Amino acid sequence: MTSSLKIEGVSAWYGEFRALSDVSLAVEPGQTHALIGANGAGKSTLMKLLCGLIPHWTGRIELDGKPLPPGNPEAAAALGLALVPEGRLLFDSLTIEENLLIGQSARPGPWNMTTLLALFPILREKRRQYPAQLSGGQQQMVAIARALASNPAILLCDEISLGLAPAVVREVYAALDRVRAEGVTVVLVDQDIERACRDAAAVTCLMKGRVTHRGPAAGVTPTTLREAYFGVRA
Amino acid sequence: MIEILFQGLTLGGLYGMIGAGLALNFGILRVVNLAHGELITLGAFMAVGLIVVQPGLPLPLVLAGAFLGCAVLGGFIQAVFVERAMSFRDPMVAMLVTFGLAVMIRNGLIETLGADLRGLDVGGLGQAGFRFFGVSLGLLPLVTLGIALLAFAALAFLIFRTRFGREIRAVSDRPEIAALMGVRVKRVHMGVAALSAGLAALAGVLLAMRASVSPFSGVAHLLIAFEVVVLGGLGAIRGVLLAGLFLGMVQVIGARFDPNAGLLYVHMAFFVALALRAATGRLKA
Repeated sequence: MTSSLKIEGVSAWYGEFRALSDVSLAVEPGQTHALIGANGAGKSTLMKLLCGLIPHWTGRIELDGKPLPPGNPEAAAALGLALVPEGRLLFDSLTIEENLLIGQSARPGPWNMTTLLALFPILREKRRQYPAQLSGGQQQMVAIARALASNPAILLCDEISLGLAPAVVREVYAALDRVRAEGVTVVLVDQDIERACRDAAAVTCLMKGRVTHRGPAAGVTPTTLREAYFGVRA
Repeated sequence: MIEILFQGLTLGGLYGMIGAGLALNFGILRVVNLAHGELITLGAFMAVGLIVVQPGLPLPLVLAGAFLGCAVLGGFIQAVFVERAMSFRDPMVAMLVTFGLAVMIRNGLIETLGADLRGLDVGGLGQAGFRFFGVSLGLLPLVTLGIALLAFAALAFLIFRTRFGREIRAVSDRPEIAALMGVRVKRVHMGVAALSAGLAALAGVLLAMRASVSPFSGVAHLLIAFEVVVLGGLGAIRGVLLAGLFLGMVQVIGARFDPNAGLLYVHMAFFVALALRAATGRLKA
């Protein structure tokens, strides 16, 4: 079963600083939705907020009609939201296998050790190793697999290709295609806009915490992108 | 020589036990628990109380009773007081809360039981001995060492071989990400605090078996615990045991040459080890 995410009028704060202003968007079930924007636009803030890592926000967020409580990561995980964080943030003192096992208590579903290792076969031989012993690409695979281990309805991927070699990026995106084929809705942030738009069905662009563009990825042109990304009219 | 080695290992195992709970608390919760010494004393008094209420109670049941009693109290303290204090960015808040709790436990003990020294009556075990390579050794120290080693083995098994241990290590590494994975972080914190207090209680019982304790003993225990933890590494189980054994050996060897030295050589060895570590650059790690 695929799941939809609805975000309505969300504003968020870091202390006095308003990081998001009245953000609304809808993520259709079973789709990949790309969030794009310059550094500081609020993409990662929105991702963290969805996962319960940011307590101070107003507005309404619903996952399949169920409201998301603010600042409660455990509740977000139980609802079916999982994050592949920027910089991977793996558990350094756990082996790869243990990293994957840690999320398995959240929800029942198709993702287990067997299916995760089938998604990233290279991890099979690395399962007894620690994250520091893996390459950046392999660590990103562990981060994706770890998030999937909680059997999420929606997979949030923050800066999914940051610092990865082109061949690894292709491999990661191919894996995300397979994940989506299993019914998982994907929301991704990527600095490689071209790559993100190619893979996504819909795109939302943020600038200084506000939505400046929202629509199908197929309709994104360099002109609309420039306007939405930099606020500059051609 | 065998006698010194035996006594050193015994005392060292006890020192390791004294430091284990504190290391666990700081390594996982990042809270310097200033009430750790009082929890050790409380564990000792619980054991004494159990023997008074139920004379002849087998030692394993005394240990289990003190462990459970302190573990429940430790979990309660974490849930009601320390968890809230941990939400402040300044770690001093949680530390001051534990300081306040230490004062409360100490004065609670004095108020209810008085300030007298008390020891745990272990019956014939205190006098029992055996011969090893021609040297006469006490059975009680051997039992103490055995219990300490068993406790460390059980702790290592729990941390490295169980699901709860996996969750403990994940929370220690990245609590926010662990919560995202569905780990109930506050429950893990409570479990760690309970485990830490339970280990403190075991150390207290072992101490009361070999010497008397008073409600004021907590500070001295805390000092040893800090030295063991600083030398062994915060959250490092094996390091804490080795540090305890090292300091125990130092005390026994020091006492052989200077019977009135008390803990002087232990503290000196601690400073020398710290200085050596700083000189080799390991202090940063």
